[in-house]
Amino acid sequence: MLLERTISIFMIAFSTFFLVMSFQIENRSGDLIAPGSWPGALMTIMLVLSIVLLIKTFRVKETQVKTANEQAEDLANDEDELVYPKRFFYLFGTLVVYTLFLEYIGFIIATILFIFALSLIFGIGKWTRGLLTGFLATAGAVILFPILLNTPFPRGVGIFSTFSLLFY
Amino acid sequence: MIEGLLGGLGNLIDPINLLILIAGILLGFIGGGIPGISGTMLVIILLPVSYAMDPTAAFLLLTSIYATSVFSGSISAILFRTPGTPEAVATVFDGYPMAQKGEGGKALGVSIFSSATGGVIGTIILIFLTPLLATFALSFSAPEYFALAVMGLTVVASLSAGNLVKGFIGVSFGLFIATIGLDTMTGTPRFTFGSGQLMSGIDFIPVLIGLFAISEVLRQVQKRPRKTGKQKVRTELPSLNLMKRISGVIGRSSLMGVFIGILPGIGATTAAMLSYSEAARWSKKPEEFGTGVPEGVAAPESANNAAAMGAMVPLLSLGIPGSATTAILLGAFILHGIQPGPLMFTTQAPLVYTILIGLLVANLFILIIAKPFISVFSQILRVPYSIIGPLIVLFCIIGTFAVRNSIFDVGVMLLFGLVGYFLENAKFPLAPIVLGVVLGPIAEDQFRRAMQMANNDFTVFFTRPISLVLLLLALVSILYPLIKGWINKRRAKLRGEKNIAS
Repeated sequence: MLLERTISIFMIAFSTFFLVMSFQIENRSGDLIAPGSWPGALMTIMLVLSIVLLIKTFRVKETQVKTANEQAEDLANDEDELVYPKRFFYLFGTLVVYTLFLEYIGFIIATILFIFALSLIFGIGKWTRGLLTGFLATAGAVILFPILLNTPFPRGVGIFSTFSLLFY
Repeated sequence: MIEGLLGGLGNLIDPINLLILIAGILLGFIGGGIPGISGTMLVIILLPVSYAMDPTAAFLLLTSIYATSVFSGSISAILFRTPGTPEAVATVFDGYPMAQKGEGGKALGVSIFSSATGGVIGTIILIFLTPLLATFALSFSAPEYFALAVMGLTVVASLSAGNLVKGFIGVSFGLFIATIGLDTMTGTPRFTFGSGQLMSGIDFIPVLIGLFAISEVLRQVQKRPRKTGKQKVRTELPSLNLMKRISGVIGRSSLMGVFIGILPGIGATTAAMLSYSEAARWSKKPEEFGTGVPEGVAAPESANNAAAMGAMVPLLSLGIPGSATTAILLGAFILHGIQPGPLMFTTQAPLVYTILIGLLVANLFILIIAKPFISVFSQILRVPYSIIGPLIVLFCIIGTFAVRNSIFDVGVMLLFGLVGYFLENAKFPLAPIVLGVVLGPIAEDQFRRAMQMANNDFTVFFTRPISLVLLLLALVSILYPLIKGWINKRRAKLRGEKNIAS
């Protein structure tokens, strides 16, 4: 409930902001349906519905008849305890760091370290196994994408770029 | 059409295509079988591999994965009580009790047989219905396409999670994301904040991968690693007697599955649940359901495979995806420079017929490959998530990056991973957002084109019969859950009053 309330407040802010923004889009063509009309209409709908949702979260919980979908979901989420909440932050943090550095240190070195870190976060027992996973996954990806399928991968800058030229 | 199908068969016999089809089937088996990887996620993971392929090979790979992962979710559902894919949830009800009774092999056999039959029935209906619908759709113009998009979106929003408000917030959010970038009609920049990268818009592949795959990995990482049980089971295909016994259930469930699949928004999971309860209702001994009867495995398994094929009908004939996975397939088509829809049967006929034949063969192959696969499968299940998880993340990043060679897109993917994680925790359905993003450009362009056509007269949507019917259907799909909720509430109230009176 609390999460739902936070999300609805966030959505109200989001839709209000972009509603104002869509009024500011210039209408050069002079059409009745301006470039800003469609997003403006969407944000109005979202704003109204988010307010409805917010009000709903304050009302007493009613007994709801569960749909087949929800029952299925409940069953799928059975035995679904989230026992390591901290790992969420570790994983997301690693992802952000990897994305930021990928451009500068190139795919190969960044990915070996990234997969190594990830396998530790996911709870691989030995760090040697994690390092091996990192090497093998990177090797596999480099062979499959830049070498076999000609996908351009980030090379990094300076010495990293020279290093990557040895492989792809 | 027969010529087209024969041509498709000819294309399929090409050794490379055949090899890719078999690879797709095996990958579908593996992905569907491992809990935590759904068919949707597997198709996402393999998108980057398909970029470099020839379209025929690429779509044989993606569609065969899609078709077979629905089946293999039942393996771990039966043996370990953990559905490998969400579609196999209903299979647990009778599959696991059968395994407990020592009939695990029989349950697997029933699952193989009914999945294959359901899939084949679904594909046959797909083959005949798609060209018909496409011919009909050739007469569509802007107002009809707009109405079609609206109908697709409302049905998805109102049915996918039973919460109308959340569904429509998702739809409008998704549609809004699609407006970012240069306006296609006038070239005006919208919500770009002067950023060059936002100018070219937010591609929907990163949004999709973020919402479905990254958010799921962010959840899985917090879970206790699953136990990998060892169990030796000899799969036995059903005997003639048993086949006769379950054939009625399979036939009914398959037909029901296909038609549920065709409707936008209600996917294979719901089809499986509904056909399970229908099978119990039609049965002479409904009380036996849940204790481990073959009918209880046959019904959901035939329905989910049939529904997966049914969901391809609107994608191929109208270019409107009805589920998350078909939305990804739509994205894959666009990446290959192909616009699915009625014109595809004239411009891309060989490709379409090869896909259709490929689906038929993939479903038939379930019968042949599934049995040996299951015996190897216990080995695959022993690979821990601490290795699979990082690999999924890596594939997601490569898949996102490779679309436009853009690290900015990887950032977008991470952001939507976070959004998807929190929205799902708050029980927001994600499918409406994805369909909003995918259908956004179609809906807006066709709306504005129709308005130009009619000189800004809104009535154009209501004076053309087809568009009127479609919009009325959209209205019904909004009103239906509201009325149903109201009736349920009244009933509960009446019951409450009765209780007080007595």
